[in-house]
Amino acid sequence: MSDCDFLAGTLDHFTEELKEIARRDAIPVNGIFELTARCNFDCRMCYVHLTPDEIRKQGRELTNAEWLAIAEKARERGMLELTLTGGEIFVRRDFRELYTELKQMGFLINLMSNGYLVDERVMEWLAEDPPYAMRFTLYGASNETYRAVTGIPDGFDRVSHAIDLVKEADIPFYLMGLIIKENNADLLKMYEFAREKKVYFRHSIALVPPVRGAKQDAAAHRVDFTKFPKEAFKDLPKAERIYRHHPRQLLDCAHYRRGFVVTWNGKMQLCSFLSDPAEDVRELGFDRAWEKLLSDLEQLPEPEKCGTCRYEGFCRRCPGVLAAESGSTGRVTDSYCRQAEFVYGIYHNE
Amino acid sequence: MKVKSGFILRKIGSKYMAVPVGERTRDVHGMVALNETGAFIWQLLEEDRTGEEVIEKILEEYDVDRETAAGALARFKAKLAEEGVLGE
Repeated sequence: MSDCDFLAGTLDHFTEELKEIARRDAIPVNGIFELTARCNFDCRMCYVHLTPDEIRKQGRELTNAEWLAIAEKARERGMLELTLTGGEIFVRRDFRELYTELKQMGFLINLMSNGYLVDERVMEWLAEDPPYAMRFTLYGASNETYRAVTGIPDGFDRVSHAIDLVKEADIPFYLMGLIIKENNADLLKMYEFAREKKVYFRHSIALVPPVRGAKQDAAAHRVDFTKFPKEAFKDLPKAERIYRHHPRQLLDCAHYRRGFVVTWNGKMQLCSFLSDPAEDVRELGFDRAWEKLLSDLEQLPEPEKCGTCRYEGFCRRCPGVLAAESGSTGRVTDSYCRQAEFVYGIYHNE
Repeated sequence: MKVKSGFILRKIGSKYMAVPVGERTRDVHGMVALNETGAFIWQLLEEDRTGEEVIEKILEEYDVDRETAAGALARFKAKLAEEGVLGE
């Protein structure tokens, strides 16, 4: 490389090399701070949302001072990209102060939000001190659909306006849509909406069951793609496999040995979905928690039957999702296997 | 000459980068990727120095001739100026 290159930090040679070095040397370059489990929405399928009462039963949110102390240690250890998420980050009254301090520390900061609370007042300071990137989750293409999914009557109008404000401020921005039965009919309209706004949008139907005390019934709202007629996929190009083969499922995890989440109550995990192992950062300190997490992950069980499964090349086998679904990374539910079988079938005309 | 304020020089593993902070993120999206030489020059330019001072420092640190050192500095300055991060 030349002595100096200006990079946006994705899909470039430098960043790819950094990721390889990070995995090799166990450097936690990617951190996620889950600032709160509170949210101004009440989505039917949320994996993490807790009421204030439920939060009090489990502990307390970390203070800004605690988050900054963790960030300082994480920076010393090599954290570069920091994602702030929830719940909803803007429900924290002290979010602006925390964000402003974190912005001075030398991180590439991503903000994840539902967008509802992003208004002119927020944009006044956010535009002056912009994040590296911002993402809103889109829940529908109308207020009616937003109410059906989130319980909020004017969600779509508010979020649409928030998108305009973010784009006006020239903040790098994209949309993600989580599709369930209640907004499934809006999918094409959501893509059309994103086109009109000139923002990147992608959707997912991958719902994760609730974790860490959340009570929403994801399964009741999940779009079951195994019920789709296989005829609908007849023109799909055939493939021998759609997921790479890995001797261990953890090797396919972007966070393995180079990323972590710290939950709203101070537990360090591999990701938001995998609640065990979880190390208490306040008790152990960042370094010891990171080292213990790395060691714990080497002991994670994997489902034995996956090793000889016919559908292995069509099964994601994310350890976090397996654990959220079955209670353990070493177990896989029948419904999970049926999904892999279905995907295998549509790629093999069976 | 010096680089504009509002960057933090970091080393992660064997990789160097200058990350914009605060309001500098309005001008520079992402980060400035540096190799070891680039990080060395960047650090020098965090203080106001003349070109001759920087060349002398490069010659002290690296086993290169004056022409090579001057060329490296010229290319570095040009890149910073192109991206608007070279101060007066």
